[in-house]
Amino acid sequence: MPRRSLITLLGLTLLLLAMAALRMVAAPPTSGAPIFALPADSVEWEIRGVRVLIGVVVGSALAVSGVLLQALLRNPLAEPAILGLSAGAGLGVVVSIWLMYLATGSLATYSPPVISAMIGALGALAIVYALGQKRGLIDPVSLILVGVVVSVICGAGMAFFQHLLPAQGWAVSLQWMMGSIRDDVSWSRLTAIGSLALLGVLVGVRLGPAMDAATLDEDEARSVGAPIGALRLTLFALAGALTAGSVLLAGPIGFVGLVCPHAVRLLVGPSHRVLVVGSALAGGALIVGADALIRVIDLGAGRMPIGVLTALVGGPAFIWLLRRKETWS
Amino acid sequence: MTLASERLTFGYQRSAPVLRDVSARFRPGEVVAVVGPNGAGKSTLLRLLAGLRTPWSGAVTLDGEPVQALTPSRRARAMAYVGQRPTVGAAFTARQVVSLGRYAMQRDDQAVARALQAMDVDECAAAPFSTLSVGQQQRVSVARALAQLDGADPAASRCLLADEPVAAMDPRHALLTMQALKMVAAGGATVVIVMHDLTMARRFADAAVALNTAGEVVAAGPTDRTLIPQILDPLFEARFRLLETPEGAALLATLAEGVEGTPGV
Repeated sequence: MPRRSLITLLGLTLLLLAMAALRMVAAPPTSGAPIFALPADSVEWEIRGVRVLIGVVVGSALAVSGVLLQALLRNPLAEPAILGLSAGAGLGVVVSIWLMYLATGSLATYSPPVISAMIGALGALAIVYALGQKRGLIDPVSLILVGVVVSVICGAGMAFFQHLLPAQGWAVSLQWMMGSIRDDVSWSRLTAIGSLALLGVLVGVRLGPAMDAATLDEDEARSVGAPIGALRLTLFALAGALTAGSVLLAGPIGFVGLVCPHAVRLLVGPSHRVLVVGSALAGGALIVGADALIRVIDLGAGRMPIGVLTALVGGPAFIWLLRRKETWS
Repeated sequence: MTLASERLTFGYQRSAPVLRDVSARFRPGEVVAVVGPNGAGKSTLLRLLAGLRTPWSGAVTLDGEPVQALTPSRRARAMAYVGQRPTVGAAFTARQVVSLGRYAMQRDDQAVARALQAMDVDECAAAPFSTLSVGQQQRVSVARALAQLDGADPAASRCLLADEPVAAMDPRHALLTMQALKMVAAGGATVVIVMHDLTMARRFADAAVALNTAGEVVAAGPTDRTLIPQILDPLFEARFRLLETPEGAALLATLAEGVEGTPGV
């Protein structure tokens, strides 16, 4: 591995640890109390510790999903939220909440199954993949436009099913429409989705050289021996699963899969092996850091959703990339 | 050890075959030019030969074995393909793009360096591929194919298939590239090149396959019997003159009578 890549990965690891430490000491700005203070008791230690873990898992999953989608679709602007995957996963969850309500008439203890988010995310990706092509080739502009439309439709679908729920269901479903780390995540779910994120990183590293070769023209990529069909299927399923997992832990959070891979590319270049690991570390650091920041910001209206912060950073980054000629060439 | 197409028929839409009943043999040690008017199916034939498309009927065989049956890794060791429009969807440098040719093989920095040098792109090896001119990108793409075949077992069949590889190159680099491809053939490989420069084809190719706009083979064989006015005139609907020069035969094209000029304007 080149020395520069090694130093960058080391730096990103330190950044992640620093963000985790910051989140552990970040406290809500109550009157007179310092905003950075160690947790008062073991319960507070655990609450903050779990939020750090969730942030690492969600950020890593979203960032790696972005890398995989960009390789799968040969499009540097591909990202789970922009392509409608996050909204698709959210729609899957809200539909499952509605079905649960229809079946039992109650919403009290319902925990949406992983499969609901998976179906939503993969369904959205399948639609975008199928409609984002012209004459059998993926068209970058069509792909993004279809993704934006799918995202809007899924958002409208979520609002529709929310409308069908009673008033108490609105609060339940609203959590799945706004990106925010959830406090009611069970250890088993966190372990399962954390394992999925780790698997995403490992598979991404394993497939790195194939993703590198797939950046060639499709015929040339096949001619150098890249297993394009199997690669696409794997990236498709993995990106969908990672997005679904992150949505189950924190709802739809946008732009992490765009900002982190591009920032890491600037530091280490386009080689996918390093890019996957670097993006996972950067994604974790971004979400944990953002969670620390919203913890200490008090605008008098409760905790701000993380998705607001990531969109404020990611939106301008998306426009910058869109206007950069090299991005498309 | 021969690459062969047997009665190939293929198209992209069921109602419109691009190639019809194309049979041809491509022998080791030879450079074969595939020529024909635009839309004749030359690039399609090259993709079929490389095993990148499945024919509707007929077969492409390498040493008697269908290329479609080869595993991706085995095919990569035997056949390198250079597309018409070089594109790389990431900010890889020229050297990194050339090293992608070694994907199915052991990493070999020496092979990559040799290929870069052979195509005279070693000086821009560290530059991002996307910042190079189209001609330079074509040289890098050919270098990638050279690196792919470098070190292959000389006893095994090797093919280099290139689609208009010198179309955007300056004359010097076009000649250097054709020389490099000739050297590959001299080493025992089969080299098949789609080309429009018929003088270049006469000069560097040993044989030619001419396709018409119906996707049929109208001539196949040594260039001194295929790339001649009697075959080229009706094929391109133009008038060709064969000029003998000290450097070899040159083909000069003019518009056929009744086509030249813009009457009525």
